[in-house]
Amino acid sequence: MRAIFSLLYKEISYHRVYPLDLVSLAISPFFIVAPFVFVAKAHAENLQLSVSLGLIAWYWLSMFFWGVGYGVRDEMEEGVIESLLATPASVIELLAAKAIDTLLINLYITIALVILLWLLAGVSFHLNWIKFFLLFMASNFALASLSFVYAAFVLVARQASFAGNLFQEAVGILSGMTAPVSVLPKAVRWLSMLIPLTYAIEGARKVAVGQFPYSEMAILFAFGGVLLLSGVLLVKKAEHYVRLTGTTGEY
Amino acid sequence: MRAFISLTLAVFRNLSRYRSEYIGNFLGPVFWVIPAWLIVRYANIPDAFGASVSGFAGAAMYFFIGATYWNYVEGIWSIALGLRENMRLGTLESLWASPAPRFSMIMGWSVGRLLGTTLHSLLAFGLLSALSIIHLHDLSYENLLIVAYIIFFSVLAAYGFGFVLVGLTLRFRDAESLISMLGNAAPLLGGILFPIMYLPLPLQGLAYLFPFTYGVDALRGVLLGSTTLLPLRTEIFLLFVMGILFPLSGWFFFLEIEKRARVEGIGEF
Repeated sequence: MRAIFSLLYKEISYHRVYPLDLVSLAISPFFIVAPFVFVAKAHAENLQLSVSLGLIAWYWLSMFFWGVGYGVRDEMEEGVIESLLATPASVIELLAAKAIDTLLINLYITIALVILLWLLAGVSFHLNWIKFFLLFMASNFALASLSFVYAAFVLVARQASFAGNLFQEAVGILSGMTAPVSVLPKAVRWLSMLIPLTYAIEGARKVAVGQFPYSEMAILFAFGGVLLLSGVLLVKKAEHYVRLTGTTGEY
Repeated sequence: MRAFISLTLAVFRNLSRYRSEYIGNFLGPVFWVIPAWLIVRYANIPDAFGASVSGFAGAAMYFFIGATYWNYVEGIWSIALGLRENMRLGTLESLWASPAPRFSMIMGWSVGRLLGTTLHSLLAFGLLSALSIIHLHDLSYENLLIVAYIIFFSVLAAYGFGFVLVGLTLRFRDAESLISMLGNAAPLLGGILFPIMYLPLPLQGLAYLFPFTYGVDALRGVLLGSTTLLPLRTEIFLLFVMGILFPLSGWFFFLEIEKRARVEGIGEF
């Protein structure tokens, strides 16, 4: 546990040293999300909230993918992964620290996005914020667990940014990021059902119409549990592999 | 010239070494088009913001032109990110200490990327055409020339921003965040996916100062017959003026920053 807190302190120290990063984290997501929100506004104003919520949830996944899954690449590039592996701390602890940091960042980004979309795009977020926060926690648990699986892939494949990009974008489309899954061709809808983000987005849209997303949250917890177990197992295997082959410095 | 050719070849060698990254670039416009197009499908309003090419195909084409155009601009801006990568890898100082002219270096990095962008834009066009999502109608030689003109001057203007971003990367520790913010703001301000009239007034004001707003709008005007913000001739003239002024002022900014960096050292990170 001490290792996780120390590594978390290291992650948080980055934000202190790079304050402009925090500004960028507050503003950049708006610029990425807003073009689609304006497309919705131009076509049917009542779609704005639904599109905004889908994109906010997709952003959570994106942050976990780059912050946790691909995050181990930072240590590789900076040449500190070997020294980290030489300490009693494991890669799992490193990922856990990154996941907690990303959870806090996601909360920060969500607040910033809601404010900016309301101010600059005129999106009215009439939500029950307690329900939304509970869904946020369940979704972030499932998505963080998914990013552990990706981290195992990054450790072994080393050059995995393409796979990450492709996966993140494809998952966004399949999970109904901008439009409900029902718009997708029938042939691919079954894939949507296998993606936790689909339930995070559906849950957020349920909250928007005043419902409590019981079933979505249950599915997200189930996904989170299974993915966390498989992620930890795969990361341990990947860690063993890189220790044996000595490929931590290659990418 | 040798530095320019060597660096252009280096970009291609890098692409052949990391082929998966190249496929990622080719899918870039596709991932702009599909989510935006799905909104139009869901809203069930087959409209491409008044373009003469109507229907869902017209809307897809509208988004595709914006996304592809943006890919060119981003191809040039990413030089600054490449420089940052060299900083992280600790190779920038040795590269900068070589006698190669800076201009050749920057051009070498970017021309390779531009050629790559052209190739993967064609591939993305092929993919979306094969999926029957987009169609291109009645493109005359005259219109093709105008399209080439718009892309040429847009690319020149993008170099202006590129030089400024490279300068900032050399100087500031937080440059990556700054580049990321500018890079992410540009598609919104330039109206890559929608006409800028939907933006709130303060952002619209900023959008009018941006060369890419006119570039993408004029391109759609020519290719889709959409109503342009200003008369087409005016947009083309503004693009010409910005295409000359932006790279010149950007280059002088870069030279000034580089002079300081040589005395005070390259920015830490």
